[in-house]
Amino acid sequence: MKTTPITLVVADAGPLISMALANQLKLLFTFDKPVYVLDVVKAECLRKSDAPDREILRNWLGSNESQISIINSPIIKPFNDALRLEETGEQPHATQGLGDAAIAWFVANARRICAPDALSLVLTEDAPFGDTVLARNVHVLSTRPWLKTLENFGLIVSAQDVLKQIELNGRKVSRYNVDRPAIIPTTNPNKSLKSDWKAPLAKKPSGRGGIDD
Amino acid sequence: MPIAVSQIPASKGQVLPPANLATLNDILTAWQAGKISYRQALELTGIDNLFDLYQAAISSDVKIRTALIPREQRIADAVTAAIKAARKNQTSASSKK
Repeated sequence: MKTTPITLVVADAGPLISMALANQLKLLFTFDKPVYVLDVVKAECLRKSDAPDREILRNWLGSNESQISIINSPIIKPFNDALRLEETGEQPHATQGLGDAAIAWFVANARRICAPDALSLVLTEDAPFGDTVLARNVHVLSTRPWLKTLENFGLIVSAQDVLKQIELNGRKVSRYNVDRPAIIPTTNPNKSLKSDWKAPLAKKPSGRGGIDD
Repeated sequence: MPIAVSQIPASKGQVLPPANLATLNDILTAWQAGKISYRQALELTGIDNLFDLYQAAISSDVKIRTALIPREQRIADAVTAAIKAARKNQTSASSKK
């Protein structure tokens, strides 16, 4: 069976903050490939100087430069401008909607930005965005089922323990559960394939001993 | 240097589901195909109620089945027959009074 390479794209700050609070950012390297992070997401993660996850994320981003690709979007300039307006108190919600705009820009340009033959697996905790805005050319996955799948492959001991750790550190992971395949066109216009992101996990040595279907 | 995920060992005695039931989409698809029960789907997905399970299916583009599978049809038939019999007994008991 032909498999499509996976590119993991972190499209909102939620999964990064959650993994930072659980001290599990390493899980983002599950696919042994560079992780793509939108510039606006990076800026969002590093904005609050008093947030407990900020230093963890700053260190993680700084010490894994070879494995993390920051996607430069045209939205970063208005985002930074809006951030300044928020910081001065001029407009308290000036950045609202700009994160969503950055994701929309990414989805429209996914093939150009990532490897053209790679499938983008978009990790998000944002339900309305994942359900309604993300296009069918990307596979949408939320934090909870991602962790549960890692558990199901024996790559972590317990998804619930990771979620509890995040909660102990003051954050409740969204209840959003999505694992929506991308639609991959084939040479036959009447036939399309659905993406499946688990193959790289199955190749790892774990408690389950590899894929069996 | 991050720790490779493969270095995290599965716990001793950890029971892992088959690989074809490892992802949320796989589990929801199997549930809607009648291959596993909703209770198994809840356990495998870590979702704690039926409403969220249906919501996950909708979000994940898993088609919700409305027709009953044979096993469900048999249960529905048996329950229907039991209710009809109970009603009949109730009716005849009250008419005797």
